[in-house]
Amino acid sequence: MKQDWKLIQSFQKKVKLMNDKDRYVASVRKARAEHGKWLNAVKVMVSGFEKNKDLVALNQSESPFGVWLNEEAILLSTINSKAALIDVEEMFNECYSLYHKIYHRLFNTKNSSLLSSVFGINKVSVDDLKLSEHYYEELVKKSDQLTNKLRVYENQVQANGEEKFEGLYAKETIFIKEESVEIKTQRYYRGSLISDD
Amino acid sequence: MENFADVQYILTSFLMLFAGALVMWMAAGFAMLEAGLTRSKNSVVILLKNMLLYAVSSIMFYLIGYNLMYGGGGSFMGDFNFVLNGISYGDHSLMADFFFQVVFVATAASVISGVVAERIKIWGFLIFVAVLTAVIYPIQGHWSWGGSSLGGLMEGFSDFAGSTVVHSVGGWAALAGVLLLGARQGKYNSRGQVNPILGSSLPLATLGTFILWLGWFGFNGGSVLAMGTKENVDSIAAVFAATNMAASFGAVTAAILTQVLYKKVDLTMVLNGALAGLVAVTAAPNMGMLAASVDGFVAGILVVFSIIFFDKLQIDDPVGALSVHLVNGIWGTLAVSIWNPEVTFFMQLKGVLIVGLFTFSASFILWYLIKISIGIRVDAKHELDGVDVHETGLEAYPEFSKKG
Repeated sequence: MKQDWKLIQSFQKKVKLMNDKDRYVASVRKARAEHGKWLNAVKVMVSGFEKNKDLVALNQSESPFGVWLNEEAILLSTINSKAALIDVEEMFNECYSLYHKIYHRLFNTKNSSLLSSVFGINKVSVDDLKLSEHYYEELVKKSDQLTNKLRVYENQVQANGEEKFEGLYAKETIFIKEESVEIKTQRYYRGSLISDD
Repeated sequence: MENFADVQYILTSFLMLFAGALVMWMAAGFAMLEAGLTRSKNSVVILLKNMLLYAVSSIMFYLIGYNLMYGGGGSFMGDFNFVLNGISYGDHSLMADFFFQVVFVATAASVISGVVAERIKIWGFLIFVAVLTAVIYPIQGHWSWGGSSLGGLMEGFSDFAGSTVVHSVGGWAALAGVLLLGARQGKYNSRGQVNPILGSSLPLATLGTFILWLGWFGFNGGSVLAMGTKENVDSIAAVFAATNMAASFGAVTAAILTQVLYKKVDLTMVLNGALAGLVAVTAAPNMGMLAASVDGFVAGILVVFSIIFFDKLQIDDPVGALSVHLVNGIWGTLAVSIWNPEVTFFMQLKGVLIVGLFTFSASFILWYLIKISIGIRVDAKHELDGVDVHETGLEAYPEFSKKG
């Protein structure tokens, strides 16, 4: 996980020279790519090539995509495209729910013997394997929806003027998080609902 | 007795000059209100428009307008003289009168500025203002304040300080312009929904409203047009108090209404509510506190719903000037018939319709001619970038936009 986070940080260093809008758009693309990597890692686990159960973080907020969603994507959501991000977040949650089901089938040690646990030779039953493959197929579909939504979000972001992004990265993330909770209530300006997307 | 007449002459002229100076200050209020309720990328052009429209109005009304409005006895219009001349008054100074009247003309032009903000071409706008203040405004003003009553058609029409003559005239001219101009980019989506375009500075808008409120004491108080007797002063004081009351009721009513409708108080609506009350009471600020209160109360309701109504029609009015000046100019004028027994509703309605029809038609033709000649709308890209940089090469807040 730390390696992934370092990768993101090195990527962010590279984009320091970009303006804030380009930097944000690049981060959206990067997040999409990270989600693709995450899906591949799950695939490797389901196919049995990889037995390391720590390959993919169980806590979604620790995955590279989750880090982006919670720390970077939310920066812009205070001023724009909030509805799209809410959809992305929901889809990502669903992806993780499916991954948890897969994890449970692949690494559930409740029924394994002490000996097999000690030597790390837990065998996955055929039924569990089939179920995990089934969940993986669902996960692929959900991930497709997620990446499509991210493309839509990227287009929405692209449609905004650069001025909306100015100073975006100068803001304190924690402050922004608190503010984003605040603006969940409906706001009106001259009789019209202020939309956050 | 001769000395007493001199004192009356002096005091009445002083009233006009002092009130005129207050009304002139309203130009600053309009500028601040408009700048505050629009985006900062367009602020320079907005300030420029407000500055120049005042200057153009002053020049054109002196060159042509004043004589057209107050000179001669023609039923349709006054004398068409070049440069103010041939008029004199026994009870006050001519130039005091001119100064007091010229700031009214500028007020009518200021109304238009807000409605067409953020997408109008400066020069197209100024040409319109020049013709409006030289010809359109003075002609309709001649029918009521000039005393012609349009050959008897507007006989009995009462508009004390200009709910119709000034405010709704500005509103009608603005409506004609905005219909040809169209809405700002992105204000309405393809489904007809409103995308609110937030203003850049509510403190500035609030300051503008307070300035307007202050200026209105000159607008209505000065319209008593006499300060030579104790009764005159009582009348001026009553007008000041009534003006203040109408604005207060307008503001409070708009605040309560937005709280009920949206569960939150919308400051911009409250600002418009105060102004709506002021516009409404302008037709009859001499009818007492109850009349002013009711005028302001109804205006506070009307302004909120008419802002929503204009948005439903996709008529984009960034500052709500149509709702404030047109709708409440009409309401205030019609309401005179409630308070003044000498005035009938029909007389008022007839006056409103005649002035409205003339101003809207003449303005529409003028806007159209400007549109097909030099154009009235800025390029789409300029509008997107903000008109300031393209039209003036300046930014209102350059320090904040510099990077590094």
